[in-house]
Amino acid sequence: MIATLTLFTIAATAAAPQEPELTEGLRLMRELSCAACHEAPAQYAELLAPPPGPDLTMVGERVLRDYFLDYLQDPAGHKPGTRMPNLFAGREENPRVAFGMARALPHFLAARGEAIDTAPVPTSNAEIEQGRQLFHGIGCVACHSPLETPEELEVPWWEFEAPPTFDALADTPEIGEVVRLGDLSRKTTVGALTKFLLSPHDARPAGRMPNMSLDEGDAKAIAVYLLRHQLIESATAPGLRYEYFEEPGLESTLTLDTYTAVRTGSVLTIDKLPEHREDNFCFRFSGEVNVPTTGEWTFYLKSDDGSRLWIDGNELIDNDGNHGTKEVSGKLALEAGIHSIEVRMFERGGGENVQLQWEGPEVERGFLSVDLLTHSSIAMAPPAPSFEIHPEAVRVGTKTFSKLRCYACHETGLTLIEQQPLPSIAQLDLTKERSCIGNEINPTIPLYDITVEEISAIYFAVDAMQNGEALAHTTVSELEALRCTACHDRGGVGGPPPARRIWFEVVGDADIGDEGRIPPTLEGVGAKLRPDWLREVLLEGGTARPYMKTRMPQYGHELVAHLADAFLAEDSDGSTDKLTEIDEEEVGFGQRLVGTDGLGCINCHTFAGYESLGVPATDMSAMYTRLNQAWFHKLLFDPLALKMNTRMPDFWLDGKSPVADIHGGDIDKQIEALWSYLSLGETAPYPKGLLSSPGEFDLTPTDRPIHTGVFMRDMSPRTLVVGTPQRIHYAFDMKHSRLGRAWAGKYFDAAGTWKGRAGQLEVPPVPWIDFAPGAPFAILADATAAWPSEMGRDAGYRGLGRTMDEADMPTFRYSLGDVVVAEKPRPELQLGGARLVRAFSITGATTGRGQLYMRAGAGSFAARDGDWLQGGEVALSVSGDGRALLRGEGDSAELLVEINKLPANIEVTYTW
Amino acid sequence: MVITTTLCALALTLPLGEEEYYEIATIPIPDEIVLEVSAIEILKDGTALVATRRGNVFSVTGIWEDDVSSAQFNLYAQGLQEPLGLLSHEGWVYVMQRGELSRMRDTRGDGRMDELETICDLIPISGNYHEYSFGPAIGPDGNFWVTTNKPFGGEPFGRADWRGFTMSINDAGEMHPTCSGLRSPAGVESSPWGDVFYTDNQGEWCGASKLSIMKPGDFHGHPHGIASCKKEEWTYSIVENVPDGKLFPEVKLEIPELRLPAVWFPYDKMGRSPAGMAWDMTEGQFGPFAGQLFVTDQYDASIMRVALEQVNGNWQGACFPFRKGLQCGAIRCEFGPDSSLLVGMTNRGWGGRGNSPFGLQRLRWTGETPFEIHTMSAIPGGFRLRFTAAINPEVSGVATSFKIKSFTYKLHSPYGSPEVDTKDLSITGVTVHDDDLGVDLAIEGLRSGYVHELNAEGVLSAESGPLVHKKAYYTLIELAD
Repeated sequence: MIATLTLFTIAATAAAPQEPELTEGLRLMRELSCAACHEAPAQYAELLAPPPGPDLTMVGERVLRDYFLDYLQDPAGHKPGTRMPNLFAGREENPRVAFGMARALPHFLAARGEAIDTAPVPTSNAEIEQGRQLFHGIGCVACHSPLETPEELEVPWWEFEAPPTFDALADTPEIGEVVRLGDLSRKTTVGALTKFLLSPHDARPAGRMPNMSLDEGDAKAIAVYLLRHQLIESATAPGLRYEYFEEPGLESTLTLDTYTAVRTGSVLTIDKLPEHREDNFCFRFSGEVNVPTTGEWTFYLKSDDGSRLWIDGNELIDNDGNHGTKEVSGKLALEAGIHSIEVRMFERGGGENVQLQWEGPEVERGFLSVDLLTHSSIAMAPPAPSFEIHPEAVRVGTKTFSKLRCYACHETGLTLIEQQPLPSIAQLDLTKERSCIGNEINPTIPLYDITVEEISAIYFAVDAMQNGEALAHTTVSELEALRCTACHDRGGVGGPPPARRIWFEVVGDADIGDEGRIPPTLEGVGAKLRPDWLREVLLEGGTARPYMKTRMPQYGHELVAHLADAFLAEDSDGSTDKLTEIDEEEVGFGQRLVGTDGLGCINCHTFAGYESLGVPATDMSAMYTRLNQAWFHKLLFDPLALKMNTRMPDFWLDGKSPVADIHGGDIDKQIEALWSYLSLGETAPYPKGLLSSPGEFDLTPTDRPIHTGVFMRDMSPRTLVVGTPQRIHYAFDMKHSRLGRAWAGKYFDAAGTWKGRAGQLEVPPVPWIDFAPGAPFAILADATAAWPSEMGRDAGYRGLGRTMDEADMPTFRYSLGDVVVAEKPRPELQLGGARLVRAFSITGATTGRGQLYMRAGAGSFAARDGDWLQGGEVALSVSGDGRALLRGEGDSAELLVEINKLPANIEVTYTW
Repeated sequence: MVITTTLCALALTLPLGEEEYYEIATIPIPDEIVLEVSAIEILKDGTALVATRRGNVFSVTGIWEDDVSSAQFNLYAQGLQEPLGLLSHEGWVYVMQRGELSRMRDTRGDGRMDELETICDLIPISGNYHEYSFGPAIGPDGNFWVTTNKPFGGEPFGRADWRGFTMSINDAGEMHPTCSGLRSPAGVESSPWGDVFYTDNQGEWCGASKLSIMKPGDFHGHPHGIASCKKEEWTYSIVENVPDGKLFPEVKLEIPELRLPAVWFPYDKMGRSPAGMAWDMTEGQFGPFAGQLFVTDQYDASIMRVALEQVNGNWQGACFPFRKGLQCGAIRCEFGPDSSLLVGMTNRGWGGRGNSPFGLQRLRWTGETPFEIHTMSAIPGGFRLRFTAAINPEVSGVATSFKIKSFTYKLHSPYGSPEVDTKDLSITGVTVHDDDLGVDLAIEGLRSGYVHELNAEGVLSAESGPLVHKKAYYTLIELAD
């Protein structure tokens, strides 16, 4: 009733708008391709131009044979909501004919193109996980049913017992309309689905499935995830598996365990590195090597920068560290047969390479032969077909295809016998029960899966056409047809339903509210965006929101070019850019307003690719090319009036700008100055505060120590770094009550901890030494008991705080049970090197639980002048009320300090 | 018609701006100091301890004189991790760091902290920048109450429990999770009567910024911490299945543990990011608002005013705009020995009004009484307004001088909630108090769980001056009976 009233009111002042039901009927007739069989009256031909059905020319290469059998029997049963009619409904009375047709058609379809490739395709858990996150993150679930909830997505997929079933959440009404995927694992293969995802319009030229701008790796990952019911535990694959990591500031391959692989795959040889970025990356190669003969084998590992080799889990070669091309060899006795092998390499900067060679009984020095390297992998294998293609069946199928008029919607590349034309739309008699959308199931008429309301809308539209009424698709109905409304709203229609919004996320941890994760409204978009940019977004993949996980899909020129025109025609307020020439003074004003002593726009906005000081809101240097001036002006003037709930601040106070000395605080003039400045785009001079001034966060202790609380990589997020005037600095892990590392020279640059929202994991700026891992003290039953792996509270420690001497040098206090330790690191000047003394004052009691030990070092040790040289680099000496004790061998030796009675004072000196 | 009359009145008596009643003095900060204020505590001797986000604490003196140009800054402590709260207590200065409640003192008397004791380091952090912790405030149990932010994005050292909680920590350092469902609880403060209140910032599962009382076992709306509540340390009932998209008053019927706020701060009308707060205990030396609460806003560079009352045992009340135009995002405020309000600011990482990266300013009452709504309180069938000065009863005592509407918010996963279920309410009667200092408004259709937005646009003082601020927002949880 209300709707009618509204329409009536509008009708009184403007031309009568089209009834919504008519609009819907028109849309449905196009989506159902009515005009493919029933000729449309000339004046409606363009409106009803049927979107082409899936191209079947090569369908046999992409769809599994048995799927044709099942699907054709009941398309809507396999894919609820499909526009494909049931062609065999009502033929039950003549089962022989139906059987023949239904059996023959799959042979015909399976014979289109080459035979489908059903060979197993290797994959990995990481790849499936990647596809899972992409599927739920980049916008696939705007149209398709999410398969898993955001909570489930936080846990890696392999921790679940069974993969979720297809369309698992599709029947949850709150998530809104979904385009069903059906059971894809019975339909297609990894290779075919990957190809489809990369270029969906080849197979489905109607464009309802858009191109998501995927690269091949992403497309395959999504394919393996969607087809994970085809997963088989396999298979020994040739070559080695690799994992690729990207990390800045690498010093060693040992830290790699804490990173997450960017990519995984397999290689036949490690000597040619898989694709990688220029610097700051590392690789792990793993698998098995089949040793041909029992005997002594020598491995040669050459790399730039560092590398290491493990055989059967034991480290054989340490060629680690930041260095140029260097070779290290190692030998060991190996039985003939399978042995595990792992090689790691990292590259921090400059050139990079890695090369592994070996020699052994009857094998001269050379590369490891490819046929000796294997790794186990998982693979995707589709179910085997239940029938072979039979030429006679293909022939019958061809006739069936033609007889059922399938060619009206589907391209096959074949010339087929055409049937007598069906009544044109002008000739349709809607009073007859016998129609393809009628109630009566008729063996000669396809059955469409549509609702009573939809049928009524179609009747309405046909009636209007037969009466010659003027009809048109509205912009909103165009948006609905292409499902733009799954993500965007316009005219009060569309946008993801609330229950579905939880799958829309920001990239990383950008805290920019819903503007950061939900695609923008299209309300007034023709007035907001410049025409060129609007076309760029629609047709050329232009994007402005790198923080949004959901991607803007591409539909192709033919389908959406007219949308840009429609937006502009409907929204444009006719305003033009008032800026005609650049005034240097205005540009200068704008530059100041954008900077931190102006309005501080760069507190939130990226500028010319440089990160803002806070959240990553849209790049300001692109605004001039994207936005219309009038819209920009309105937004700046009153952000909330234009964008409800935006986090864009309203800068003005009582009609004045807080920057009083530019144009006397005049808001309009300041916004114009901003526009002048932004018109320079990426070439604009940088605003103040965007780039840290050199040394802005660089800390240099001169007369007193500097203490800085940081998150430190490989230590803990509660780490205090202390820089001393002696230029020997250290990091104390307060969470685990342990001195972690020390370095000499430059202290550190605190930008990662102090700039913008900060929160970076810090590492020292120069090579450092790590102290023995784990807890510094332990109470052991005897001198042979293993050092505990726990530390901090788990090992019975408690942090007590710290005191500072007159010079602000800290003494850290912590307890282990009833033992209380005060540890004061003391830098000492040292000829040609660095020295840090750890002075311990230990009180309390071990309460009879064993002997107290301090672990001064762990690694390999060599005796030198009464000291110990650890790892060839750091000299350790022990003095005071403790006895040094070296135990263990090789690389797993430990230098302990045995403390027999308390209180005790000991000093451990590290010189490097 | 009414508007026209008001405009005429405005033209006759120009309103005085906020600055006529509360003047701002900007404390000069030495060039070498980056004073991104994170906490302020004022010691008995008048020294202001000002902590910074970079982990320093400065002792600041010379700021209570009329002329603040000789203010002195001395480094008191360094190396603290985002110290977002300071509390002087029993001879120590307690400081809340990201993952540690500590206390500090200067035993040598050289002005530098030389002893730091860890009270409790059980507050987990994963290394996410948004894991801030706030407090301490002394709770009704005599313990230290602290609040923790939930992280945004990745947790580099693994998932941390007890984010988005209130923790009660005793002297022995034992920690007891006390309230759940907090989002970004940037301010936590004990009230003069002992209850602890906190401010929270609008976002997901926090429909609008708010001030809330904290009682043990409360659930404040954000489901981030539900997993932690399943651990044995949580001794209260576990809230599960928080519905996504219902109105707050509806959810309260389903989840009795849900704590509705004492005051909602409607988005943009009353700032966007409430943070620190201070109760006015100056007994009138800071103007006519003795006993009321002042709250900083980190987006708006402003101070807001809150007047609470207890209705059927529940603390609730109204918020009012108070003073805008500070240097930048105001995060902390404390009253000084001269009864002025010292305000600390930083805009690092969060954009907002104002054009300074950080600042320290002092707000002092000029002695002129602003014509303001002093309190808005719930009475049966309406609200009672008291003003700071006598009103013109003829002009002000009519229903057309007031407008009132009510709305509430959704508890849902999207970022913030629009004002929903808004209704204009009709004022059926106005009774002017005998002393001309107040009115009782009879209103139809008061709703529990709704913000009641009042616009006293037609009210004029006895001298025919308009109100400095015409709007007030009363969060009606308990109806008066």
